[in-house]
Amino acid sequence: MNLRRLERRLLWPETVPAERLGGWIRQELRADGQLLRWAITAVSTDSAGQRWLQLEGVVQVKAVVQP
Amino acid sequence: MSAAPLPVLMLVPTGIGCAIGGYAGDALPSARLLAAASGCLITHPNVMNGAALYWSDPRIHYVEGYALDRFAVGAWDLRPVRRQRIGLLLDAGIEPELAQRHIQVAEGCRATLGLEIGPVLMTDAPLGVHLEQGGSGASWGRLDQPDALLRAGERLQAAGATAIAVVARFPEDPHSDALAAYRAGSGVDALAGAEAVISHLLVHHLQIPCAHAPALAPLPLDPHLDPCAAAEELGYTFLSCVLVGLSRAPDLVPGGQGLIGAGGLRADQLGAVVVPNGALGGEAVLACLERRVPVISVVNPSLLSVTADALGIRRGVHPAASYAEAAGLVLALREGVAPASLGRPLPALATVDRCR
Repeated sequence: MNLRRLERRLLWPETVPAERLGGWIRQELRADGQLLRWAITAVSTDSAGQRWLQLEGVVQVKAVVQP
Repeated sequence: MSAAPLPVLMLVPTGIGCAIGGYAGDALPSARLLAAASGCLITHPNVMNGAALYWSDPRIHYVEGYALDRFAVGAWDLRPVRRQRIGLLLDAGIEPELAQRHIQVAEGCRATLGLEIGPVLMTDAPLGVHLEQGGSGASWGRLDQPDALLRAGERLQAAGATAIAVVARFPEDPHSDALAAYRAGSGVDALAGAEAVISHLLVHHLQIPCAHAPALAPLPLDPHLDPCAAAEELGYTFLSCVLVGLSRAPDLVPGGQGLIGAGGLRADQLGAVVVPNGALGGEAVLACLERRVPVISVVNPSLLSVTADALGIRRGVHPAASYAEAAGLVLALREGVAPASLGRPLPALATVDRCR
């Protein structure tokens, strides 16, 4: 097993209220590995009015065995 | 007569440079106050650990950060215990003399405090801790050999340890600007993020209480050392607070299965969560928002600005200018006093449309 640091920027859909963010983020990051520690570290709005979440975290990933 | 205890979660995220709690256990006075106000405080090692300094209070439950997240989402419950048997896990990367210092701390805690400690185990390979920094400036970290950590944890658990104190050798740069800033009472604890990763990994794997102390060589005397960093420069190790904290840390049991008995704690019992006002984006806080647990958002400057406004949260967040004010709000909630009634102007009563 390896540990990998994660930095992601996610477009925050209007249909997801703040109260549902936790589950939504876990779902969005599922493909990155098993989440060990994460947090939203910034929220911003672009010129088009879209909201973005900056996420940082650490995930566990299976080690790749070199041939 | 006081109202029944109100279980309250206190969070001061690690490695984001909080003005209170970003240093050597310097949120401990605030935790003591919140424990007195609530009668039941659940918080994490970063709040309670003051290296050579610690405070033991039966109203405070010492729960590692990963376990706190699991607790907040309802996946794990907390079962108080009289004592834990603490296995001591030492990184093979620690020099023999420094390792011996740590073993002597464990011996001292047995002899002087009556803690049950043992066995001691050295990992089968150096863990290889690396310190990193995220784009936000928060400290993070990783290990070259996470499997060596987990193997050692498994062996300690199999040998009867019910909790684990882990000590990893951390890289040093005694002349770095970051360390100088930290010792002067500003900036971010560069070690904290990697510490959290180590303890999260063990708790995730073993589901028993674990906490971490870094192994470092002593620093040269700094006559201008900030008081908030001073607790870390009193001795050779940061281990005693971890051993004391773990000695009565609650068991971590699967949630919602009735395994905790009368004195146990479940997420649905939480009466409030107290958190720095710029750090509302962590997993535990988001879980509390989802459960409609009142959030007390305390002015406690840090690197982050993930505030209630930034997240567009309109209800359920009570701002507090200090931990003293937060304690007053906790007491109000405990006594059934509506927090809104304590301020002026009093908000207008909300109305809903008549039924047709």
